[in-house]
Amino acid sequence: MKNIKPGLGIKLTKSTNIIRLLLIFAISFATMAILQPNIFLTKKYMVSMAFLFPEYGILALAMMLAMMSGGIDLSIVATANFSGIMAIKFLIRFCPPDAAGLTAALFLIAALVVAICVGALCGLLIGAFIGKLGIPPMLATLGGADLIMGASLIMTKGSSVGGIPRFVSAVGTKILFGFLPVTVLVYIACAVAIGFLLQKTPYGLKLRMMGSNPVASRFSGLDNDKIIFKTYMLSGMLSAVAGMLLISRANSARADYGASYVMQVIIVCVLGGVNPNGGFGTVGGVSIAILILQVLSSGFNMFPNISNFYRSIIWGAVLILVVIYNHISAKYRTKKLERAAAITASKSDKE
Amino acid sequence: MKKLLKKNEFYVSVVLILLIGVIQVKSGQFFTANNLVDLARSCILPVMLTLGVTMEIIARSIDVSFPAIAMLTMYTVTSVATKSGYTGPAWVLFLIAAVMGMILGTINGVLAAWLKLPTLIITLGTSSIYMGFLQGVLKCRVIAVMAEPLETLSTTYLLVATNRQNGLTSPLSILFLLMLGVVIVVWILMRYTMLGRGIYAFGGDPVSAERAGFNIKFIQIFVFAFMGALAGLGGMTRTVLTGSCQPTSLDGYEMVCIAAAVLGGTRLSGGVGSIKGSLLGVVLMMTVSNSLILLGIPTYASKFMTGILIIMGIGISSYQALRSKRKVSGNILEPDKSKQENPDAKELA
Amino acid sequence: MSDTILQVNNVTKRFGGVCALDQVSLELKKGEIHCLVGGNGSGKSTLIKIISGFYKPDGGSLVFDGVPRHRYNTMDAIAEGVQVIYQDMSVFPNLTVAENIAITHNKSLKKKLVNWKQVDRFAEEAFEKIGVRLPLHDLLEELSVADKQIVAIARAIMNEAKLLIMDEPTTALTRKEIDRLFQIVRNLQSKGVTILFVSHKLDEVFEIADRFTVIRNGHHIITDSAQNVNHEKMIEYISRRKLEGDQYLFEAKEDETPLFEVRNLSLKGAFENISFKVMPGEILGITGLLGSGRTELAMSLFGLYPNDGGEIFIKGKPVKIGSPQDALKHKIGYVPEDRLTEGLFLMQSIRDNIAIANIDNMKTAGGTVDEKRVDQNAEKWRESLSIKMGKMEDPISTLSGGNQQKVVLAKWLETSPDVLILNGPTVGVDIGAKYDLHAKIRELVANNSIAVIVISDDILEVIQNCNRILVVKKGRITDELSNKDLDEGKLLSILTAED
Repeated sequence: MKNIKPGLGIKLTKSTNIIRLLLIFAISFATMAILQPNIFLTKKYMVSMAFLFPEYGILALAMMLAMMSGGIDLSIVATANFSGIMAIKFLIRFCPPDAAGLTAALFLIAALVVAICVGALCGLLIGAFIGKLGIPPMLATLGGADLIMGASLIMTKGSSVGGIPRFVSAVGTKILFGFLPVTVLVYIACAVAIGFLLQKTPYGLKLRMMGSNPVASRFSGLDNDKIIFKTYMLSGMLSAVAGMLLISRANSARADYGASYVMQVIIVCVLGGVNPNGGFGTVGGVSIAILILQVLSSGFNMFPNISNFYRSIIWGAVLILVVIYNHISAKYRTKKLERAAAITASKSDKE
Repeated sequence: MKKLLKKNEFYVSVVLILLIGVIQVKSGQFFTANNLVDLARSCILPVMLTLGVTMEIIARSIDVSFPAIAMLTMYTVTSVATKSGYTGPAWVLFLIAAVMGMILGTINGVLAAWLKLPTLIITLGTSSIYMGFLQGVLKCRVIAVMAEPLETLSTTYLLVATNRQNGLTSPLSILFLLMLGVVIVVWILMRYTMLGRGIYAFGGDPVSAERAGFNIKFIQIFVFAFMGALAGLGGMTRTVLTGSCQPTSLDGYEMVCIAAAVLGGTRLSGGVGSIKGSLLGVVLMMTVSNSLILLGIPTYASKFMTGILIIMGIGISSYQALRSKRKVSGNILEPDKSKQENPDAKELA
Repeated sequence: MSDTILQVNNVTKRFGGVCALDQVSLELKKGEIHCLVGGNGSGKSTLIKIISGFYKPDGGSLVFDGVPRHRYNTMDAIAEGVQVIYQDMSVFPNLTVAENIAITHNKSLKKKLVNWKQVDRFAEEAFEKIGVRLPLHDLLEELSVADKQIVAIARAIMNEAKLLIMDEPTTALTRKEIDRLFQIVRNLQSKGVTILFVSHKLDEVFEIADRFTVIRNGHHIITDSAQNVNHEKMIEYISRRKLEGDQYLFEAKEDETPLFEVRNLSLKGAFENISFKVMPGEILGITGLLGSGRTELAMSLFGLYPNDGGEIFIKGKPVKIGSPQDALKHKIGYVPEDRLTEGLFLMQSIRDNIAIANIDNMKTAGGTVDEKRVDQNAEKWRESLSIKMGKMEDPISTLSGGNQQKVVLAKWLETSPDVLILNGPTVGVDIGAKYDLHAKIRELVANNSIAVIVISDDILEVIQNCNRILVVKKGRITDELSNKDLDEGKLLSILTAED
């Protein structure tokens, strides 16, 4: 298997992982289409699938960054909700409820900025727990999630925040050209940005290397703490964007939306080729993984006898199968590499 | 003294004492009979589950699927018993739940031990499957009126405490004895059997443990199977304590238990953990969440408090560990004055 | 009844094309204290691993206590009565002293329950046998290295060891702890246990051993009574290796500004009063035995353990090195001792491994990574260091040790360092790559602008490649020599002389 070029995974022909995922996607899609062509292949259905995609997707990008750094981020949903709540409170305070046109646009941007800043701060806090205090990422993001969600609960006193200006949900539900939800564009923008960051910038290389071997990273002069801060800050910012999407779709803000997303997003990442031990992951892989799971789970919705909960079974099974597969193929790959190395070694001895 | 400062249990005890002090001062209600009984009652379930989690973490495994196992077994046993009008002894139902849980836990264990897969991810997967099965296939719903033996059990009390000042009564379910039983069994297991010592040895150094002759695959599977059994018991306990079967009520509980174990000094890296410590961790977390009213803190702030607890509790010991890693350990310079010479090491004539 | 406990007959062992042991024979008498001496790379570790059953010899045989050995595995060897105490000691850090001593024994008895009184009694018995006692309920992880070792010995003795092998046991010990260890060894001897000691500290041979054996380059050189030898003769036995190739001889000009200088550098617990200069064109060597503080010094110069006293000057300017980032900023490069964990990102590509240290300087105007330059530079190093590899995208785990080390060097050369510190640069590296690396180092100093410091315990490497050599002992510099007219024997005797 060739080493995958991270980021967008654009060099598709070189990456067998991406090809494998595309194949699985094609098969899933085809299966659903054949089973229920009247429902599945309608525009209405495609669009409804497309709506759920971006929230997951952006959260998955956040989780991917954390996993690539050798950690995990269990606080993404808490940050999403908290940033969204802060942004909405900002809007309720400062924005006239019937604003439209340019005022609405400006306020929307302002709200987004507020959310992203809050998300960044949450990420920095978590980064401090991990980098400066040395708390293992699982516990740091777990405790951090409680702190952040706790803050949300305090701000909302446990209930949902209503009275959101209309333009927020209007944007969140807007469909362009009759089939493309605006939110999908938001996802694409985030994906492109993260892909760029991972593939084209020094940070991307540093992240992957530190995730692979934090000791060697330190011994190579890299500032591990800085990389951790940056990573969790980005994760927080992405979570904030996802939070805004969540709120605009639900037209209200709560402290506990999307509680089940964390686990699903981990499954997406592992399926998409992100190595939970760190160092490897592509935006392309994660994107296709989301599509696969989206197709499968929406597909089940089409059958009235099969409830939503079957989704959980499928995802759990997929996760375990993927992990087993990765484990076996990694063992196989290591054996291949060891054989190759032995050959190279004996060659160089002879020279 | 210095040794004492390094132990997590010390800090937890201090925080607990301080917290109790604050509560008592603010409300005067901490040491009332009914508050103490409420506290004891709230610890029954988390103690049982946290002890199992502690064993797993000592054995270098993370398990997030036990709430799902608890809920699945609890619903299955309760609904079957209720539908069939079961009138036999309640403990039989508990036993069946434990066995069911053990089987589900063994699946986790086999995946972890034989395939050597990362335990967090595996148990995420099985958790998803079990919950999906419960909610999708079994189409679970709340069972308000349960089989007679369970209904009876839920009103069987060990004692009832009355608060003389405000007339509030708090019952302590007889299942408190079950919790004590679990504590004793785990205590004996970990302290007095080679299996328990093997769990510690494996956690400390898996390679040496294998060399010493321990069957490490069995150990790994065992901790998951045992947790599964405890989860089965825990699920039934939950049902009895609340008086009805609510199949999704344990969502997110895994984090409470893991946090309690880690607060109590259990190390995520394995090999270190104690029953005493985990019990303290549970008591601390339950004291916080139970006493918020007494402190005048609204319930919606409890998550925040838990978060602070976890970060503070783990942060202190993590920071100490971080700092000692960055120092040179050694006595290279003073060959005749060993810095770490053990004053108790004696020469025998 | 024979008084021989172990008979090693003409044992040979090869790894790949290299012959680690060539027809080596050894005889150990019951109840003797025998010291196995040899420099690094001599084959003594391999011999130990064969005796302990870890390796199977390619030729020759072994007879233990009159019984010829047919199968080679560690469990059988332990059953025979061979116990090895390696440097990592295989103890359980999270268990107590008493439990550590008793656990393997109790497990082998297939017990199901634990009787703590019995555990304590067992441990007391062990301490009785060796003559030293430690607190039974202390946790292993809190003990010093010396105390951990005692626990390991106590455990080995209670497992009915007939032959106790100790691999470099005195490396991390203070004088007092060494005395205590030797006392234990003598106690064991009086109880009939045979002890095989592997050591590079020559004076220990004279202090404790009845007989000794010297191994050099995989060959048995001599076995004799410790009384029949002295320091000079021992040096002679160990060090008859000839230098391959020419020495790097160089005379620095006195009046130039040193490229690198440290004054009175110290770090609590590791080293003190370290002062030296590196002049243009020099290759400075720093050598010392294991545990002398040379690695701590190397890591301190790179900011991994920042010094807490003294000053550092690069090209005459004072600098503070408080972290590896500082070191990088001041253009110091460090090729570490353990490349697998400290120098390489094993699953990542060769190209990325080369690029990582200097990546912040490989940006385009827009702030992105200049891929073309990165690729070009990687190819440049492939050529200039003769790195044998498949493709640049291959994971670096596919490379041999020597080529991996070249990549680590390339990584640092990419940063155009002013100071390059190499710690054990040719450990585990094949001869061809070793030669390439040494040639490259000489090439680097030829332009008089890079200070190169080679830290190594490979005496030949240091004599051959470093025109000036510093000897470190117990955290201080004790000697400064030119490599002119220096041979392995002379340097070894300086290294091993007691101060």
